[in-house]
Amino acid sequence: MPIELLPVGIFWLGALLAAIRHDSARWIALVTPVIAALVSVMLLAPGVAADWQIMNYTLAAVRVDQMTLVFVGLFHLAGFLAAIYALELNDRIQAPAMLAYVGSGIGAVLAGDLVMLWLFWEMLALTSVVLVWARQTPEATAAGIRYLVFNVLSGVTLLAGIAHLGVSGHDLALGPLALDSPGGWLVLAAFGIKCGFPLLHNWIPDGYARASAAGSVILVAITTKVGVYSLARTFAGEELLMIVGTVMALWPLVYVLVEDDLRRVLAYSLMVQIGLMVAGIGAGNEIALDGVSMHVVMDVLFKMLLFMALGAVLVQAGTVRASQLGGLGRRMPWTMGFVIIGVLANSATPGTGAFLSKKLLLGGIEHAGVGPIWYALLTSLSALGVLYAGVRVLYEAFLRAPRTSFDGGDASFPMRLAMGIITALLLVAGLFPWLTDALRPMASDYQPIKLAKILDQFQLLLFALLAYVVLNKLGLGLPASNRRTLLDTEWLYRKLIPALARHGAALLGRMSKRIGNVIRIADRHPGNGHVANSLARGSPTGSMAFWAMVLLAVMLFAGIWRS
Amino acid sequence: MKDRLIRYLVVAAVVLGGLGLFIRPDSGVDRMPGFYPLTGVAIITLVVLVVRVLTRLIERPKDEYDAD
Repeated sequence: MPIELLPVGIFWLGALLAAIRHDSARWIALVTPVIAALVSVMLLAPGVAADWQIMNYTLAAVRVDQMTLVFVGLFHLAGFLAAIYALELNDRIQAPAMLAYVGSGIGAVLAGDLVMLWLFWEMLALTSVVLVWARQTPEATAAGIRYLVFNVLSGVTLLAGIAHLGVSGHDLALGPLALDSPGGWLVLAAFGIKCGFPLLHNWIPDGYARASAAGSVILVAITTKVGVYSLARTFAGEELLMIVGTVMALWPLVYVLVEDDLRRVLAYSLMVQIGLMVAGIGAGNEIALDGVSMHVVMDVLFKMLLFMALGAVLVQAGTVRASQLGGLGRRMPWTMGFVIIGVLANSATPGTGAFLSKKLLLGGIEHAGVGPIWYALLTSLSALGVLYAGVRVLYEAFLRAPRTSFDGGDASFPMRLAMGIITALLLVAGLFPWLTDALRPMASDYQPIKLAKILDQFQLLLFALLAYVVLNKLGLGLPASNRRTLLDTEWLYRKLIPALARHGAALLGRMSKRIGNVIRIADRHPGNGHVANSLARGSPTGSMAFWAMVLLAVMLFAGIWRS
Repeated sequence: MKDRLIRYLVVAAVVLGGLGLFIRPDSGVDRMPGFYPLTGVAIITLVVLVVRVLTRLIERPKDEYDAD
C-alpha cells in the first residue's frame, strides 16, 4: 500500500486501538485526527499521485488536487470536532466506528480510480451503519438495516457500472464520465443513492434521525459529501443534474416544514442543501464548482452544529420531537445561542460563511444561463431556511412555552466546546472572507461579497419573514406540531413490500399445501413416515450438491462458448 | 406582540426595499428591482399554503411507522 494512504491507515489503527482499549477510546478518537492531519500535511499536496500494484493490476490509489485537499481537510476537522463532542461518552462501539468511518471517507476522496473509490465506498457503508446501530434501540436497529441495504445497493450498482465500463474499454480513472453507456448510468445511480437523489433518499432521514447523538453528528459530515465529491469529479457539467438538483432542493420542503422529529427536519434540510450542490455540479463551470466545494464545507459546519445542538437536547430532554419540546432557552442558553448562529448560517445570512458559499454557488448556476424563475426558486431556499431551521428548530425547541416539564441543564462542556468552535469558524469565514480562498479549488475570480448582494439577501430574508408572520396572523401559518407520521417513499419498503412479502409467503404456503395434497393423493402416500415410491422420496444432500455442480458447469461452458 | 413584530418588520422592509431600489447588482437575472422581496413573499406564501394542503394528504395515523 502506498505511503500516501498513511492518513487512512492512522485512522484505522486508531479504530483498532480504540476497540481494544475501550477505557481510553475517547482520547484515542480525539488524538487520531490530529496525528492524521499532521501526516496529511506532510504527505499530501496538489499533484501527489501514488499507485498500488495488486497482482497484475495497477490501482490509482491516490490522486491529489486542490479539491481533494478541501475534502480531506474537512473530514479531518469533522472527525476532530465529533471526537470533542463525544468526549464525555465512554462508548466502546462509537469511537472505533467513528474513526474507521472518517478514515474510509478520506480514502474515498483520495482515490484516483473507480475501483479504489468502490473499495472505500463499501467500507463507508459498513462503518457508518454501526453509528446508527449504536443507539441500541429496536427502531435504530431496523433503521440501520434499511440504511445498510441502500448503501450496499449503491456499492453493488457502482461495481456493476465499473464492470461495464471496464468490459467496454473505458478508462476507469476517476474523471469525467458521459451518460452514453449503461456503465455511466449505473455509476450515476450509485452516486445518486449516496447523494440522496429523489426516490433514493429515504435512508437519510430514516438513518440520521435514529442514530446516536454523536453518530448523527459525524454521519452528516461524510457519506453524502463523498457522493457530492464523486459526482463533481465525474459528471460536472451534466445538464440533467441541474434538473435533478432543483427537484431535490425543493421537494423535501414539505417534510422539513411539518415533520415532528426535529432531527428528521434537519436530515430533510440536508437534502435541500445537497440538491443545491447537485444543481451546481450540473452547471459545471469554475464558479459553480468553487461554490460546491465551499458550500460543502459550510454545510458540514452548520449541519454538524445543529445536529450537535439537537443531540444535546436529546441527551438532556430525552426527545427531539417538536410536539414535546419548548422552553429550553432558559435551561440551555448556550445551546440556544449556538442554534441561533446555526439558523443564521442555514439561511445564508450575511456575516456567516454560508452566505459566501451560497452566493458563490448561485453565481455559478446563474452563469450557466438559467432563467429568472429557476434562479428565484433556488435563491428562495435561503428564505425557506428561515422557516425550516428558524421556526421549526429554534422556536419549537427553545423559544415556545414548554409543553412538558424538564429538569435537565445545558449541554456538557465538551459538547459546548465543539459547538463553540464551529460557531467561531462560521463567523470567521463570514467576516473575513479572504481566509476562505483555499476552499475555492478552481480559483475563479467571482466576488460574491458586494453591497448589492448583501442587501439583496437581507431583503429576501426580511420579506420572507414578514410574509410568514402575516400569514400566521391570518391563521394560515404552518400546521401546528403534533406527533404525526408523514408518508414518504419509504412507505414502499417499510410497509408495502413487507406486506406483499407476507401475503406472498402465505399464498405460497397455501399453494404448497394444496400441491402436497395432490401429490399425496396421486402417490397414495401411506403416511406415518413410510415411503411408498419414488415421488415421495427425499433427496439426499449429496445428490443436490451434484446437480448444483452440473448446473454450474453448464453455465460455465455456456459462458465460455458465448465469449 | 405579534402586531408589534409586524410593525417592526414592515418598517425594516420599507427601509431595505427603498435602499434596494438604488443599490442593484450590475448584471444577472436578479438586477430587476424588487426581485428578492417579490421572491421572498411569493415563495413563502406559495410554499406554506401548499404544505398546508399536502400535509392532510400525506399524513398517516399515529404509530403507522415505528416512530420512536
